Amino acid sequence: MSMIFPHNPALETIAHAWIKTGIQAFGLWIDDHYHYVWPTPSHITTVEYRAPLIVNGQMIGELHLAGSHHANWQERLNADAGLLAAVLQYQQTVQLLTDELIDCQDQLVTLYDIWASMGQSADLSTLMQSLMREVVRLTKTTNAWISFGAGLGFQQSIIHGVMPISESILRSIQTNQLTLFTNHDPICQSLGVANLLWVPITIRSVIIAGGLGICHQEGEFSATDIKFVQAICEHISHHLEQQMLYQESLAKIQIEADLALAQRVQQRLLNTPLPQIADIQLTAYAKPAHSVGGDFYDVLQRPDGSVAIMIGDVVGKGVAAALLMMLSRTALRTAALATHDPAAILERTNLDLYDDLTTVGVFITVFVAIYHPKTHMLWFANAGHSPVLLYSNEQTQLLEADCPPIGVLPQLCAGSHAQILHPGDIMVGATDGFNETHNHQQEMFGYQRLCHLLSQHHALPAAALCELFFTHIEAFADGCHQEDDRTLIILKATP
Amino acid sequence: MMHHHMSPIPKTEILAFEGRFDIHSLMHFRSWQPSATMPHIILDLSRVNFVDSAALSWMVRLSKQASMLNGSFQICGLQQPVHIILELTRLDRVFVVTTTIDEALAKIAP
Repeated sequence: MSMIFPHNPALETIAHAWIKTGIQAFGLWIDDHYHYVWPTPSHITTVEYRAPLIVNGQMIGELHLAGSHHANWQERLNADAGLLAAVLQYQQTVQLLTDELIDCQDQLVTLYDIWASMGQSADLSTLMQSLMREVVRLTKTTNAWISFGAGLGFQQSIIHGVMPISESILRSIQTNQLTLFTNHDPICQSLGVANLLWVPITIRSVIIAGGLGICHQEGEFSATDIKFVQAICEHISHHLEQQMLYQESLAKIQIEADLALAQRVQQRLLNTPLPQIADIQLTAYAKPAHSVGGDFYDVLQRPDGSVAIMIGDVVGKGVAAALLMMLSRTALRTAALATHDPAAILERTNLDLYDDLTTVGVFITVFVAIYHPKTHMLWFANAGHSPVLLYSNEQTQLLEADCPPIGVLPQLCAGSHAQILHPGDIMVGATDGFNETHNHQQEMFGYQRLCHLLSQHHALPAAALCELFFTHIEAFADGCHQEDDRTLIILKATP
Repeated sequence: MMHHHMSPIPKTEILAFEGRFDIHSLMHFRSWQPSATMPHIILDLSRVNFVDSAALSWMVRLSKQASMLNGSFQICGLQQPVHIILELTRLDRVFVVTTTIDEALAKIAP
């Protein structure tokens, strides 16, 4: 306090005012001796009047007058002492505020440095260590730590300080709200600290990512300390959220890349050039509802010169259906190369896939036809697949299934049927993405429209007919979202 | 939309759907399965006018699960469009199809 007086103009003004009244001397008495006496040089041997200087409830010294008497001087001296004490108190408050402001600026600069360095630091653990170091330094504490919960997928504590914090202590204080424990709380008593501050770190307002606790062995946390720690926690929260977003973006990019690859593989399988067969036009096209789909078709030339034509639909959509579609296509191919009987191809494929399809809980509708170019005979078998249309003798009919789809029963009991293809006859194998297409009025395209379309345009070449089917179905949907894959394979006996 | 109905006989679950029975109406209970205490399932489709392949697949799975629990799976009250779909896929040969719930219950009751 004495350091304030040498430059205190208020004290000098009061002293000079008293000297002008004719007193002998005016003095400031602190700690059993005079700090100042006016006029200089002079001494005070006998004190006539004295008044205490009380700052913040404490007497820090006295004002003394010597050598003169006056009726009101004691009151006046008391008033001067009160005024001076008030000035001293204001000066002290201003000094404290200045100190706090400097601390606050320090913390702001640190926060800025932390914010700037967060983007550069790849190692989360190192970053958190440096944060704890700064927290300890700027809040003048002994310990700081962050404990990460299972919400982030890992569990660890990063501690900076001398005091070991056990897991059980951590568990006992971790809450979802900012908590300031004092020396009345058992936790502070057991740790031997005056205060303990717990600030939670939240991510996306819900997940509790961790918390930042700091201990103070003596003294109290200021409001600035608490705000600083809260700001640090918010920075950590933002940083962790950014990291999570980054990881999610990476995962999304990975999934998109995998899907694009799966789509390329599927498109390549489906777009393999169809074989050229004498007196037959063959065309096919698939339009999945998603990037990958569950519909498939396949055409392969068998060793005896016949051609196997297959179209199928794995129930379901997306990646799972696409995976099963690949599996089914391979199983059907293997069976089609081993036997010439369409029903036997279906039976064997059912045998191969039944257990797997039962495990997954799906089935596959398949239509298989074997065409013999020499005899123009078309053998076919249908396991729950529709629609398959046949245009012959100026009529269009549905080739209905005679057994359930593959994967429904352990034994299919499929049957093969034969049909001679005359010039101009057409077989159209489609998937239910065609007949179940609906428009804005929730009206379905249905089988009748498909049959009518084929009857009306049977004169078209197979490729043009394929294009026409797709054009008509899209015109009917009139912009309605395509919910299911659409696949079409057309075989036409050249007129 | 699906409703559970109280069954007059034990160990039997009666489920009823309305309108389109498709992937969207299955969204909330795709993972539903019969329990050992209720292995008999009757699916009332009398108010259903369309079933898609996802619904058919769900029915096939339920049928298999009921069979594994020594139970049964029956569908009843088919409207014509649904009947056609079942005929075309030949699933009418797989499921036990009855006209009414009472008829289905009679097949379960000893």
